[in-house]
Amino acid sequence: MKKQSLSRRSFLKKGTITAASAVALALSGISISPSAWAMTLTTIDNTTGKSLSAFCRTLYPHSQLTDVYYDACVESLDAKAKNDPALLKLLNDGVKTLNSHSQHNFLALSAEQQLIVVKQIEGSPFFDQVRSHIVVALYNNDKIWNLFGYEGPSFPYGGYLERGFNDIDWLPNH
Amino acid sequence: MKKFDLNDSSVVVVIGSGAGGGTLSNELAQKGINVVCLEAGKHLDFKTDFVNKEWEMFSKEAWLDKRTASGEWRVAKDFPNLPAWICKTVGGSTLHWAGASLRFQEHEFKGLSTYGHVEGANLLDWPITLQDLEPYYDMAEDKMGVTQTNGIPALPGNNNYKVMEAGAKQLGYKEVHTGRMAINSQPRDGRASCRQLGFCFQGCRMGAKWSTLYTEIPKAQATGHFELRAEAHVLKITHNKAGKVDGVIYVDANGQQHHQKARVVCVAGNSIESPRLLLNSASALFPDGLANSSGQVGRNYMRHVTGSVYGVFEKPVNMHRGTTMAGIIQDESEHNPKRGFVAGYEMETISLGLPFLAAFLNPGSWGKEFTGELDNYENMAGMWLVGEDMPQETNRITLNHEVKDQYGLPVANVHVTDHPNDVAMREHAYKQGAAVYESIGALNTIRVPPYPSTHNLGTNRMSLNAKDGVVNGWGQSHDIANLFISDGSQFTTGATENPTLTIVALAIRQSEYIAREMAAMNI
Repeated sequence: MKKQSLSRRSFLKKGTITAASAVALALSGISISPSAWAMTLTTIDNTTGKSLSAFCRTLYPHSQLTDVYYDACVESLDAKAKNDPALLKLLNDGVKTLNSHSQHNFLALSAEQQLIVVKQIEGSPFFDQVRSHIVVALYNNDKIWNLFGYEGPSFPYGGYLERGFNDIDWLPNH
Repeated sequence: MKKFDLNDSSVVVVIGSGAGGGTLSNELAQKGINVVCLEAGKHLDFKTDFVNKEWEMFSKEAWLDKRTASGEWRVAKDFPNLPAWICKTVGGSTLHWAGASLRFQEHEFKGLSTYGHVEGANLLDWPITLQDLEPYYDMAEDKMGVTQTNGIPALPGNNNYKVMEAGAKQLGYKEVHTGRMAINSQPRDGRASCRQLGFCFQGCRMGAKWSTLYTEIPKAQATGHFELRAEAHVLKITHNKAGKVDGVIYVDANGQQHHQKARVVCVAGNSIESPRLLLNSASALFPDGLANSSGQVGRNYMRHVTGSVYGVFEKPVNMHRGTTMAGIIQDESEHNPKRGFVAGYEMETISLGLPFLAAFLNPGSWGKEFTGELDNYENMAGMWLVGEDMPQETNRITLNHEVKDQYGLPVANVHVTDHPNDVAMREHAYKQGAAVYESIGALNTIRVPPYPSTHNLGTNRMSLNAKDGVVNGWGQSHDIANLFISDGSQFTTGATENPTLTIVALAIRQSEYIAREMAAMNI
């Protein structure tokens, strides 16, 4: 336990913990307060990143998922944009558009108001490209699978033959 | 390992190493015929390359070279560059097939005679019958180790199957069982038995599911009459002045082009690439492409009437545990026009992991309603609907001259618009599928549109008369005696059943014919 808290302190101190590694740590049983990590973006600026994260949650809202998982999606977009100036421009312009659809910036809006704004840009290239990226990036993150009851790779555990492949017990006439 | 010279014009060249090409290669090699098998994809090792991850395996095994799609089918909108979900690997689509191995029904070889004239459909009877194919079905089932044949026990049903079975019985369906599957229910043929991993679509990490990758290919190699060249992408089939094919031009992994000479060429690149290759091989002598005097190359593309139904229950199902296609309801597979359409369909369990379900449940969908459905993942059961679709001349593979592949050749465009019979059948199947789950208390059922096509059929079809199709009852092209089609593109009609067993049976039968005709010096 001591080692873990040390690790956590050193992460906090250096400020180097990325959303992706925070997800890994969260799963290993170390609790991290929401402010203890930050998206690590190299290309997209932080405010744009936060807006994109909120956009991702508006697209695929799950109450059981903390912001970490949406931030991890933005990190993957950021990595992709590093060598793709057209994508970077699309993301920056897209967030500007999100901000221009009401009197307040997208981030300042309630979830309901954000949904109204997103509906207005549905079908735009920004919406389509981010959505098609996120639907893979979010659900392919193996750290969220347990929260949905999906157990992931089974070969390392010998398959399900002796681990409940036919354990259903609530069917009629069972 | 045996190597053949590029100038060796005595070899049979087989293009593709999947269910058709892999089987044909081995059968010819076992008879002492020298075979060079050219496979566009990489040679994976199931023990080291296969992982239980959906997107990771998709990137390793799927055919991702560019294609385009058009027509009114929804796939053209949702997956415009992925009209089909098939493999580019040694073993072809036997890596990701689910293993369902059903024989066609007698009437399905007589589509036109049985269904009669269907407006807008290009139906035709096969030039062969069930009786012609029965001995080869026997051999194929033995080769592949199909459960519930040859004394091989059925697989046990998993949770997803038990839900479907309970609903089917409640509804009064009678023909419900765990399928005839080319998945070992006990060790056989040097391969392990199934441990209910799930991930059948990702390549079987146990090697329990039949795939040419670790059955036909190594067996062929052991004969000394076979050479596999992986990452050998065929661009063009060449011919001599007399109009007989005499070799193929291919690109190797280093981008070098080679010309392999051949006595016979067999094309088994699946129903999109096979017609594309014939069309891309057009020459002064054959300006419309090889074997295309009928104009039927690329036409009559079929993909089965598909769709899925997921049932959401109050309690956990855990559909992801165990085999993907764990059982079948066959009561709707007969031809019963009283239902409002000709031909029939099967209901087979299916399960997707969370990553694939998110991508395919309702492509393009987002928001609370969608995520609410995914939140029920644990409590979902799933089935795939697969039925006979109508061949239509206008559903076809063409060359898209606007879009070129990495070698500068026009890519395939896949054009599909459902026939009204397809629409009526899918609607019936959706209703019956939902009724299965509702009969045992499903809270909700979800209709899922067809995925990118996994069953691709009919684009070089068999016909009695040369004017109606591309090949004869042996898969030999009507126009060029030493050019054969050895995959599902030779299907005259699609039938209700999953196609792989029939592709394998046809390949075994074709190997006997080729051996005979070579011995008689006819080819």
